[in-house]
Amino acid sequence: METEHSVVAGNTPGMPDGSWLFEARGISKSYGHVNALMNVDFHVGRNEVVGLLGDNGAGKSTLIKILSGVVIPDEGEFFRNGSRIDISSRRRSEAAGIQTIYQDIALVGSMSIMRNIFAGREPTGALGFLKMREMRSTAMEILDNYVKIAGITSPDLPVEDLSGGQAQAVAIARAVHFKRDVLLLDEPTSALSVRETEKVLAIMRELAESGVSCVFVTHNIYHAFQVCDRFVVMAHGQSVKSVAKADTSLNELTDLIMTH
Amino acid sequence: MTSATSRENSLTESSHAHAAKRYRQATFWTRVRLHPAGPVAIMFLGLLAACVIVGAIIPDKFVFLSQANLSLLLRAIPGYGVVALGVGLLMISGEFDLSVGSVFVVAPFAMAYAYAEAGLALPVAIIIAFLIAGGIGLANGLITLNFGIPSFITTLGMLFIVRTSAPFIVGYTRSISFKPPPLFREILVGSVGPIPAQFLWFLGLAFVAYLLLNRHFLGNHFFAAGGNANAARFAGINVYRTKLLAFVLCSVFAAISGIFAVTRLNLAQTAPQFFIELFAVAICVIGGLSLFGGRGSVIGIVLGAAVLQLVQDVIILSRLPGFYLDMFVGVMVVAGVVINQMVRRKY
Repeated sequence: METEHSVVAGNTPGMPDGSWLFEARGISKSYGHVNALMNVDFHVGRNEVVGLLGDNGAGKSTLIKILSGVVIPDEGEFFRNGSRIDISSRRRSEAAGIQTIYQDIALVGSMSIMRNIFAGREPTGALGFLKMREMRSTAMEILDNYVKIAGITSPDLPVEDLSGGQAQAVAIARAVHFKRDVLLLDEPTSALSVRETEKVLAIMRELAESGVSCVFVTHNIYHAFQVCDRFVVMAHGQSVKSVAKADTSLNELTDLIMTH
Repeated sequence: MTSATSRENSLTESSHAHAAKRYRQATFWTRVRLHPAGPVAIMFLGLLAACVIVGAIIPDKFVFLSQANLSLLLRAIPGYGVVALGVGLLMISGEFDLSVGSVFVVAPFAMAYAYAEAGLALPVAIIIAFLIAGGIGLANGLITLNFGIPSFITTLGMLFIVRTSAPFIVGYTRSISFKPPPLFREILVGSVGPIPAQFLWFLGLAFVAYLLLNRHFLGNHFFAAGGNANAARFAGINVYRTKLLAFVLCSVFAAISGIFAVTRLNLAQTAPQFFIELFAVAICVIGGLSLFGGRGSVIGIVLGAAVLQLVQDVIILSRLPGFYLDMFVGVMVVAGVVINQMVRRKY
């Protein structure tokens, strides 16, 4: 018997063969007697920014943790370009091209931008010694190509000396440089100033246009409406609605969240 | 190119130019201030200058500049300094080890016992010392990391367990005469001209620690694990293995320092050497390492060891009571932390 899925498919067309860049089907997760997620389907198309909205306890964080490989679902399947994949660990999730950018744990504040970019992926020569020149030139290239917020001109700046927006930009740039094409951004703007928020939202739009899709998890519907192509509203572990931006409004999204 | 694009480009160029100009304005003084070892370098140079000046003005009352005193100073710095190198590596990775004071005693005692009483070859005896030290470090790490116990507590308990293990095993507190071959003794604790070999070994070990921390991928992992363990994990770093390695290295450095001491004295004993661990932590704090992990430098540890011994030297030369050193260490630890926080400014 086909179970009723909580469908989050939306109206955006996928790949020419009908598959999506990334797709999750039938995701369920329980913690004891609490159903955190119930038969949720979710997909991301190429060049797309998807806003994942919902109040506290809706299941957004659980879904993100599952997609990141941090939590293993009780049920569910995952696909990339139509082919089934395994994202049961962080490494496997990253190998599938998924990278999560958390608000406060993306970077090590006491380390420099360069060392943060290469943390866990250091280019090494003989006996594990770092290839410092390669690291420095690559870090400069990343700063030039991806991080376009003023104030960062040296890869030796400690991350804690950057503003929140600059640090987010560095974390995003790191993910993009290492070939992740689905970025899960968990509340990236909640601690940022107005100006920095605008810059991070602009980065998300640029990424989508250049082929890196983003899933934007946020409580701030206004920020989401500025940058997203499609919205997924979740409540009580299920998705309520998936809708393209052209087919909805700020008021409708607000009503959806408030009434569920 | 559209006017909007050219406007954006000129904005970007002007903001980059502004930022580049701002960066170039970071003077040498600012970079010294912001380096973790900046404050201790200033402290060391100031103290050294004061000692040299006073020693030059009243050489009869303050014999700082005598060859004997300088030789003594250079010989004393590595005593706590080598232990502090290991403790510092572990502090940078976010953990503590208070059992180093007991490792300092037990590992060389085992070496002396194996060589002098069991008749094993010296290289084998040294390997036994390192295996014991490594084993203690491994035990500290496994207990701390697997059970989630603060390393301060785990290693405090290990301090007492290890301290009593040698007399427990041999039945009573005792001393063993340790007379290695003269060449070994000369290499380890002899002199190269006026400079004690032990000091050169200290600089060599400091250089190895510097390469590990700053030029090796493990150093990046130590800083990441201590600075933000969650971010390190999300970056794919095995924080558990990284910290375990740091625990082992810390104990090994303590064993090395103990071997130097035993070789210099020609004597290994089971009697505990009090406060080595606390002085080692104090050196690290004075040297700019953070008690919370993720920050520090080897040059800071070296200068911290130098500052500590300079103060001790001043106390001895001034004929002040010995407990003044403990008081000054306490004051310097607190002052070092406060000064580090005050001097470090964002730019």
